[in-house]
Amino acid sequence: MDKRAFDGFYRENFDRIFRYVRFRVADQPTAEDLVSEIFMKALAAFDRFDPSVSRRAWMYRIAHNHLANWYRGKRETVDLDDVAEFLPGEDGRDMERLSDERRLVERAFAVLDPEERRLVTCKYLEGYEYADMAQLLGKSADSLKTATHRAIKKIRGLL
Amino acid sequence: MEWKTRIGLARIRHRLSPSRRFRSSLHARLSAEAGFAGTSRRIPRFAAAGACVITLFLGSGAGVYAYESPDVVEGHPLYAVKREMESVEGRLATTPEKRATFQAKLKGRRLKEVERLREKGNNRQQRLKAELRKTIDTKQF
Repeated sequence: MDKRAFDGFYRENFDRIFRYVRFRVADQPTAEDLVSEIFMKALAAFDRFDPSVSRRAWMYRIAHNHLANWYRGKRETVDLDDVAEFLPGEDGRDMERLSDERRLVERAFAVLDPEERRLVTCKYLEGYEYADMAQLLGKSADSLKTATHRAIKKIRGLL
Repeated sequence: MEWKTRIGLARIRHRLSPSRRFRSSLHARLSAEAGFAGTSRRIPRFAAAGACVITLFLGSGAGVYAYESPDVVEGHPLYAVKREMESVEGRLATTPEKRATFQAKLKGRRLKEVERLREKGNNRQQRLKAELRKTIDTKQF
């Protein structure tokens, strides 16, 4: 891997992966630690990367698995794909002090089903393109686009 | 999408975003890990100065001789020049692969110097013995 390839890879994935992790952990320092570990793993595996898979999907998989292992280590069972898990819920789990944005997200996401929450988060919070989401979720980009737009219509006026 | 929803999502996205400090510090750590650490701003200036040193010395006959010759060993007047040129060459090896190649090259050079010193030592011993014999023989007369 040369420096240019590495810099491009980092620029392409860093923000997205950070937001993916940040939405699923309690605070910024924890997110920073996890993202550091995720990128170290990706760097170590970079030469084994299969070019037939998109780099974003590959990086997402690494982040997802690392986060799942982290939660397993904390002996917490969570569904990383259902982002409602990471909003303060009835079980009283206090991920962090509620911010206004968090309250708004909670209110908006309450009207969506888990798949719709996933689509909105993927597209508008984490920043994936539909082509990437197609690889991540195993569906066509067109169907994902339609489903996401439907979900956005549902939360109109709630954010 | 309705503009209010768009703004709301953008605001949440912004709150989830990483700090600039973390972005650049992680990049620096990963660069160091990948062996790109030698490409910081300080190194190119030093590399340019080092390249000038090497060019100047190599441009002079003495520099080429000092650098290339296994006869330039410890104790030789040009040995310090040789070691300095190697030191500059070492600092220009900015990737793990280049560093490994350079270390292997250095080992080879040091081994040749040791062999040369051993040869010189043997030769010196023989010369000393010959001088001693000559002295003894002369004194006999």
